[in-house]
Amino acid sequence: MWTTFKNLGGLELFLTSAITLYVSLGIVAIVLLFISRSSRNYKEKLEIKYTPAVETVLFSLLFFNKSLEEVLALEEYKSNYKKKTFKKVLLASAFKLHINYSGDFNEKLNEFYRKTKLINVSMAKFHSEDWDQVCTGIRELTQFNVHDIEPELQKYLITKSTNTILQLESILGLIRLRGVEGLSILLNYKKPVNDWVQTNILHAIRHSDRTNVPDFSIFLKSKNESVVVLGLRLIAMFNQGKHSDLINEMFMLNGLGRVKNQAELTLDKLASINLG
Amino acid sequence: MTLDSFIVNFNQFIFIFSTVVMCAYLILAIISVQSLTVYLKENSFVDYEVVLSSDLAPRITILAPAYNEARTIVENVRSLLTLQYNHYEVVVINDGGNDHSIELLCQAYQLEEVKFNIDKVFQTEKIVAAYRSTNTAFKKLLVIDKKNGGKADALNVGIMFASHPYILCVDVDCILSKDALLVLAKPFLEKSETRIIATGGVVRVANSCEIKGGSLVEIKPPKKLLPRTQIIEYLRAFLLGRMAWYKLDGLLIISGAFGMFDKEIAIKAGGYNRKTVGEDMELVVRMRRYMIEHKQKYQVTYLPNPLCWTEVPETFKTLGNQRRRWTRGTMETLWTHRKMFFNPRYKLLGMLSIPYWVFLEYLTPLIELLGILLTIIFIMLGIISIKYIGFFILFAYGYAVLFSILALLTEEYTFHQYKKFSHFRKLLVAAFIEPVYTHFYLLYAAFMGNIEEIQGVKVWGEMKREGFANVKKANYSNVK
Repeated sequence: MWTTFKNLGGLELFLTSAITLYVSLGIVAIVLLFISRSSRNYKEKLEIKYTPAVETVLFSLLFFNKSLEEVLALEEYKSNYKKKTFKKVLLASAFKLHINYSGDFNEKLNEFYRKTKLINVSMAKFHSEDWDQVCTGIRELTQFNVHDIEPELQKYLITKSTNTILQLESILGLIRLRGVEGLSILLNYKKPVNDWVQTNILHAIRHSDRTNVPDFSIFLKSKNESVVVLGLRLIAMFNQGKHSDLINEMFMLNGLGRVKNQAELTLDKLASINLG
Repeated sequence: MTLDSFIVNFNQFIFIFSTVVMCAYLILAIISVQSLTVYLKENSFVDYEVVLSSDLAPRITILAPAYNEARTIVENVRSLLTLQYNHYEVVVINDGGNDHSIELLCQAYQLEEVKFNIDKVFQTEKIVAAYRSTNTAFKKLLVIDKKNGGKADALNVGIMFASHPYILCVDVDCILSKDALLVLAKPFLEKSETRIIATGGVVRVANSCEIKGGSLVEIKPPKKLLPRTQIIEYLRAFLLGRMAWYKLDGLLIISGAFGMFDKEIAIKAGGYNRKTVGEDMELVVRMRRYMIEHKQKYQVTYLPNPLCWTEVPETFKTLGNQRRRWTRGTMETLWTHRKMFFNPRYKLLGMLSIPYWVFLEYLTPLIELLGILLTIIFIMLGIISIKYIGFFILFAYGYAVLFSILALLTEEYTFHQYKKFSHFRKLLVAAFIEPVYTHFYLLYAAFMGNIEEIQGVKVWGEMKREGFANVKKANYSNVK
């Protein structure tokens, strides 16, 4: 029997094939490791290379009172604007500045974004097949106040996608564009809005335009329990104490559950604000 | 059975068994890599700062048991007190060490003894005193002094003192990344409709890393080869193993150095088991078992982010102590929950996770050791083909190296923690050396763990650490 086993050519073939496969895959993996390292280093170096030019362009526009035309005539811009990495660094820097500044600075950046056609880069992402690219596109376009995409955002939210991250980005995008009013899209929203999404929404609202704050009691009529909970949290956040009786009624009528718990928390918060 | 037929059957068994083990690891690795890719893509849009300002973020109590940690405890506690999170407290449990930890903490944080009144849900060793700071800057800190009872006993005391619904159990000498709690909070907010009973995280190797003020400043591979090979081992386990088990909903172990639990369920399940040295794995299995037996929906989650950094053994002696203890812990857990073994009532846990742990985690080192010993005997007797043995060794070695390179490749494409090329080269070399340098010693340690368990050894064994500031100390040594 042992002789038979020893003479098994199949086993030898299997072992040699497996070893060859391991060696080949190992070499491929090591090559991939080196390629990944090299390309990462190359990209980093390229980004570092373009950073001074990008800073010159953007700082001239924002802090040295140069007109847009003058900025676009700068050598730093003219010699680089067709390069992909330059555009990438320029867009990322303009995006960061837009988050950190407001008023006239942002108006200038909005104009710059359109005039330099960086908007087209974001639009290409927005119309991409990859959901993560779409999310990036939404962030960029809504940060630079491109209102044209609002209908598309609503579609993403209601019908077009089941991807929760894309939906969250759509809601946050609408809040960036419309301020608190952007939340109106949730009135007829049927899917659950989990606490992570609500945390993001509440955070976005804290940093958004808070003029024309609507009456949030309208959310309490939703058939979507999670939207009701969000409504209760918004009432507490904006101290809409006039709804205390309605919330109290909800607290008494609801059985155990999230709405009852949140109603209690909202009532406590409203009471503490009024006492304070 | 004749000797010839025994040899044939033995060879076939070893060959088939090793092929099954290799395939299982490969399948898990494929699932892990796929899940990691999705996780990272989704996570690239996460802004953890939203958690910082949110009232919805879960309230967390950090439990840090300490045993003879005097030389570094003040700094380590400071590190825990400066995490980026609003809703948390830190409970340090001094487990009856014989150094001056309590005096040092009292001095550094202006602690004074306070009266305490707890619901004594667990039997524990005597609680000597509780301390709080008179300085409001340290109001998050509570220090408990108790008689020595082991890590599980200390953690049970911590659970009784925890005032928040979630407990994060950490080793006091671990370095947590500053945003660790923010990252941990996300799944609890995201899955607000499901009860998450436990969340595990990745533990990374901190030896030779630069640490200042309790924070990791620069990540470097260890200078010594032994801890460097353990990086490869940790990457394989955490990036290519546990992520897959999380995805399959079959995760049985959450590292004792860094794991978050639902306090209520932990108490209902009976808390940490004081009779085992594998209390981390045992608690997870028991909590899951409790939820299944009580027909409650639940989830155990896992975060692949590098959030917790620990010091791994730098000598073979310490490594052996640690691995013998791990083997005993595994044996005790599997034996305690033997009812789950191939029991369809426990679904995937019973039909896949527990059998995997029995055959592939627990039995594999023993079978491998037996195989090596018998092969040596057969070679000495001249009754086995050297050619086939050579092929088989290359087959096993090739797989081990390939799998380690895959782990490094995954690290490179995901978290990219080792930035310098020279650092990465050192790890690559370690991947080639590890199968011959540490593997056989680990097989021996696993075997000795079995012997100790049969002998009824219950000690933790000395776990000497070099310390991040080259401080020598002994943790949980000879604790019952």
